[in-house]
Amino acid sequence: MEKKNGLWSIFTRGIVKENPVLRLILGICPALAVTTSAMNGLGMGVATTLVLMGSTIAISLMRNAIPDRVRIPVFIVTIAGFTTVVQFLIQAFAPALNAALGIFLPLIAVNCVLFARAEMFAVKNKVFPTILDALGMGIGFTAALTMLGSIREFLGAGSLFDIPLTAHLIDPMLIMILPPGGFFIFGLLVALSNKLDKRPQSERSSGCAGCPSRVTCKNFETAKETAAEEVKA
Amino acid sequence: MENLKQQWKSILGTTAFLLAVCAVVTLAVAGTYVGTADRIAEQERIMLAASMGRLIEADQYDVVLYDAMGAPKVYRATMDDGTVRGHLILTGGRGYGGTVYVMTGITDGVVVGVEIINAAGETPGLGLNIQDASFRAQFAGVDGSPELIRSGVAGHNQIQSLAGATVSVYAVVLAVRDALVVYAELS
Repeated sequence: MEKKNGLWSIFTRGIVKENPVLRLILGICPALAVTTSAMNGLGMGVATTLVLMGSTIAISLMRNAIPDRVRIPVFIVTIAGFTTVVQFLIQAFAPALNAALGIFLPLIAVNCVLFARAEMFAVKNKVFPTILDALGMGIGFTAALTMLGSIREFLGAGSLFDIPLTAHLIDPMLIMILPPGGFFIFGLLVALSNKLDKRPQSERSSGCAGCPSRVTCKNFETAKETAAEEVKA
Repeated sequence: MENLKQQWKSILGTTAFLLAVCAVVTLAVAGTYVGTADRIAEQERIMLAASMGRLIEADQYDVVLYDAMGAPKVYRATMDDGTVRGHLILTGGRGYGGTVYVMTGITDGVVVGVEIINAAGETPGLGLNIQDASFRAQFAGVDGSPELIRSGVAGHNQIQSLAGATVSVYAVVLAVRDALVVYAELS
């Protein structure tokens, strides 16, 4: 039962508690660049989730063979290769999807959510937990991007998923679709997610304990001991 | 001595592993490319044919002019009975993220419509709005070098810009200007 709970928490962690965009502040470049509409946010999220799962599974399978010193180049090559293969396949078999995702696909290769999950999770864990972690993180990423895109599209274009809502009633605030609006809404969402964090302020702001990634971090336990010793002294 | 040997072993092993990973990934990418290249080219051809059909309906499209690189640039649209319905000219303008390729349909010196053939580098939601039918419709009826305006009501041979997408819009305007020049040289 306990094991089941562990796996479940690996899966759900990425959705809320360690949401890659709003809590870990990872993958911000695509999160700001492509969320000009709700549909774009959803498309980028789904495409990223697929590549994230594929590349972390590959890295997890190789985890015992990868020499520590060259692990980063190995991640880069694996992720970039995976992205390119997926791009070719989509171009060949789903031209409509390709027209909609166009620029998002090459962007995935440089998305740091993928590197973070490879480095923090996939390279140290078996394949099954890795799939759960990638799926959870992917869903969290997709949810955050869709939310960001929905708000920006609603305020900036007066529509939602390309369905006009207020576009004819009031002039939409165009700046919300432009880069400044992206930063503005992103900042508000991060502030909101911090506000919803139930942990006391002291626990959040001090060092390692405040890090949203502490669960997977190997330095966390030692840091906690050091901190406890410092308090004693 | 022993230490040095071990170090060499670890360096060589690491290099070999990295090389192996790179080789496997390269093979995978190359394999997918070889396997899909024909299909991708075929898809692009179908899309291009569909664009040409939407601009000027005709029975046959013949290439009458190639660009410096040997790619088709001007197509002549003819019916089976030999009547020429117009010309389709493929030109490009520098957009926000690379060249925006535009196909302009021209009949008797007047633009009948434009189709965006490739705008992969433009931002979705902003620059990519040049694909919207309402924007492209502005080019129908243009018979002289089109002018870009940012405010006011667009008159004859004037194109109203899209807010937040000036660079992409300008790329289309440049491409259409170019197409009109090519057309003038042709006739």
